[in-house]
Amino acid sequence: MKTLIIAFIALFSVATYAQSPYEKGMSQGLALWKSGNTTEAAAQFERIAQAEPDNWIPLYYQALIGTTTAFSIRDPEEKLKLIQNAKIILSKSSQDNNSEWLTLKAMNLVAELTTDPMTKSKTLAPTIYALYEKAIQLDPNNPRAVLGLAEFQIGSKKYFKQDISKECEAVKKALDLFETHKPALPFAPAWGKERAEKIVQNCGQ
Amino acid sequence: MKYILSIILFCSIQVSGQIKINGNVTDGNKKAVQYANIFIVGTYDGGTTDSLGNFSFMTYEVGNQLLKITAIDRESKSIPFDLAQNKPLQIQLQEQAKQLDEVVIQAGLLQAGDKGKNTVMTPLDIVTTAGSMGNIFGALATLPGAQVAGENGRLMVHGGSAAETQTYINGIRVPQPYTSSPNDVPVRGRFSPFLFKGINFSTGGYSAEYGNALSSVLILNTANQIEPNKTEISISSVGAGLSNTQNWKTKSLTFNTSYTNLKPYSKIITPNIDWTKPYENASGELIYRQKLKAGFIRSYASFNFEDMGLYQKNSNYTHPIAIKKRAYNSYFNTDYQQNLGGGWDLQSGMGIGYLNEKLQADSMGMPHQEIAVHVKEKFTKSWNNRLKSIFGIDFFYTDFTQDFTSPGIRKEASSTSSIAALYTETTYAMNNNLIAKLGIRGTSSTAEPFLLEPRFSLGYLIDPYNQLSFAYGDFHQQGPQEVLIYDKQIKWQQAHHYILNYYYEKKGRTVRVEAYRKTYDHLIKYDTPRINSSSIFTNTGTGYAQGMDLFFRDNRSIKNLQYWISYAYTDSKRNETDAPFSVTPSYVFKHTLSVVAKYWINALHSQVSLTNNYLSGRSYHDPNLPSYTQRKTDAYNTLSASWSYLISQQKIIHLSVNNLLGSSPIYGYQYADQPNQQGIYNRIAITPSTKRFVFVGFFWTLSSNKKENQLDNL
Repeated sequence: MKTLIIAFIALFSVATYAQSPYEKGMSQGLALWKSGNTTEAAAQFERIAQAEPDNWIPLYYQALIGTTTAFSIRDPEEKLKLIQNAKIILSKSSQDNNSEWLTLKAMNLVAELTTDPMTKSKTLAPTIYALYEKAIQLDPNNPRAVLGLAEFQIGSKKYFKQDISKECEAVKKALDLFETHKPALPFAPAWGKERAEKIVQNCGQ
Repeated sequence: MKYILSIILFCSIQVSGQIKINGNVTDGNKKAVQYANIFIVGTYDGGTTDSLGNFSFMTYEVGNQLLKITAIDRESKSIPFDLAQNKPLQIQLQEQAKQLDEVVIQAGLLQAGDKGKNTVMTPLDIVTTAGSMGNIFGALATLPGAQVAGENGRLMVHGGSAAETQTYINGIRVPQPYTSSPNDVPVRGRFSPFLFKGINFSTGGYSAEYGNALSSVLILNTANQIEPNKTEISISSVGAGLSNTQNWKTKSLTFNTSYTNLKPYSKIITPNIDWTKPYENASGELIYRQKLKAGFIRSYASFNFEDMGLYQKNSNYTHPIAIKKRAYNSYFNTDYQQNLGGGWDLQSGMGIGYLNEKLQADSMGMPHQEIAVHVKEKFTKSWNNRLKSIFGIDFFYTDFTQDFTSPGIRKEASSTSSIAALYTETTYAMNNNLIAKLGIRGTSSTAEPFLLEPRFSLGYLIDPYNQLSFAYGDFHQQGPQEVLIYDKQIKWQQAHHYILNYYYEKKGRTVRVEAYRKTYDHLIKYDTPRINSSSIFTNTGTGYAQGMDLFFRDNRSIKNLQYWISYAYTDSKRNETDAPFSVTPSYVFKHTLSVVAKYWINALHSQVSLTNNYLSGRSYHDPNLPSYTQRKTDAYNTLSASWSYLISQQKIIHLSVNNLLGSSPIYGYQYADQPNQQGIYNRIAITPSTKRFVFVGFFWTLSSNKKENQLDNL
């Protein structure tokens, strides 16, 4: 009897303390991404997303990996393929009131804009601004939305040698927000601090 | 007891223990597919293929499961799989079947749009092409197969006259697409190029959705997009403009006004025109867009007022004739698109155009008035990825009145026509490389109770970058209004198109070669030198046009340089109008060559653009010589340049000079109707209205967030 109780307790504790498959899967995916295995990471998030159809977070990471990878690719056709694929993923869930989701949508369009800025900025830039602004409106403390908008503006202002101190202030604000902004859900987006630090460093020069 | 329990526990784990699933993924050509994702549906278990296409993963699942395989750009696959059956899997993953919308049969088509693929120019090109002056038709003239005569400004395609092209906005006909102008002064498009997201310009063999055009259709499409808040201001050497957009989440309303007056300009640079009232144009536009749950509404309304007066030389008179012209034009276009579910889409739309043009030449008046209506219903059905059909019905109504007044005389002539048309067209992708489109259009009107027009095109993708295509079609067009007012029973003119096209597009380079032959039948002839109420009209004219277009565009070889070259060879002979036999029409250029180059200078935040147009001589009739249409004008060349300077994201200065070198071409001659006392027919050369035309403009965009840019923001 004693043993049975112990066994029960043991089983129970395993269930309580061990990671749930979701947590394990997500951690694995994030670890793969961190170690540079972007394709494997995206595949992992794709698997989790299809197993958890009501959860937007794995889908978010799948699209995020596609979009961020696109920025680093030079060949415009390959780049557009990844952007397009991420766009399809983003269209799988309607998250019109999700600040993180809209921020990612904006990033995806920024990536698209960079493939042919001459032609695309006129049509895409207003939408990018509108998405970032809606994202900030929905959650003024979302550091990624604040950072994304500021970074997009810095790009064009630098070109015209305009004053970017306002945008730099925004990035600094984003840096503070990275400290205070606590995601409501486990595994909710938390990236971006390093990027903000880098931009702030360049702001000084 | 303890041991038994642990054994049982352990055993159960062993029984439902992990098993390994492995295998290999290849494509249709047995080549390894890397980065494919293989997983058991509904679980987290899966793996990714390596560079050899191999994968393996562990799972605790048992029994029959569904295995799913996905990869970017490939058709995903689901296969039922019994986990007990423990042997390596061999999976084939095909390339993604092309969506029908992605494959464009290139024969007879030139696309301008911002998608990047299958397009020969972007909407921005229209504004930044030197010589176009922001005029859609001016920019299209640099494309192969399109020609614009200097004295006229209208678009002519593959040896067809300007009247053989119809213009559509969102599939709805625009009856009066051009501004008014005095004789021999080029007209412009009425619409701002920024309104359109995509332009489909047909060089022939076009879809059964369109009719009543012998040569070509120009299809302008606005975006299905709610516009953000913004204000745009422009000031230029010829006028000023103001535009404002208000956005309410699912709706947007834009108003646009512009005012043009050539008076200050003609004070500084003396034109070849003796203006008594330099050209003046006031226009207003309203654009409303609304997104609905399963649909979209686009409405467009415009109003245009033009006024001008000048002295025009005429070889029939010793003194110049005082011309006064005043035109009122309004156009309304609205359409509603709805997704009906089950692969069905509906587009309902209508357009109404009204033009009232008052023309006064000395004491004679020739006012005319036109009301034209188009109602359209179109259903689109996607049966599957490979098969799509459209079904539609069109109704056109036109009422045209022309008066002739001189002191003591007043004559009125008018014509009314109603045309109904039914059409259907099916596009079928037999496989990833072969696509066919078959359509038929039936038209009924008073003059032609029943006309049937088959249309057919075929596209073969040699590989993702090369396409060979063919198009055939029968086309008819109602006689022009100036004939219809005197002969309401005149039959429709007829054309058959045969087009062969080769298209190559890869990484910023495009090559397009098109050969065509058009045969004309039932062309209108009349027995007087000029149309008048006593002319007798017949449909006995015939003709042909054949030729070849070459187009090359390169955005890639030299950084920041984009250029394109287009050349067209046209051979045409027609027996039409008052010609006694078959001749090359005066509107046909045998050779046309355009070279457009745009260079972005990063350090100056500027784009400079050069356009060179070469047009070979055209035939004309000299009544002083025997026979008919015996002579030819000289070829001419015009070079235009423009410079766009970005001051900031919101401000841009645009400078453009047409005919930079000041060449003075002669477009043709106007001969007197009667010989003078020496028995010679006097003539006057038709020349450009201004030698050079200089445009300087300042454009300023104010968006609510003060961040939107004019042209470029990198």
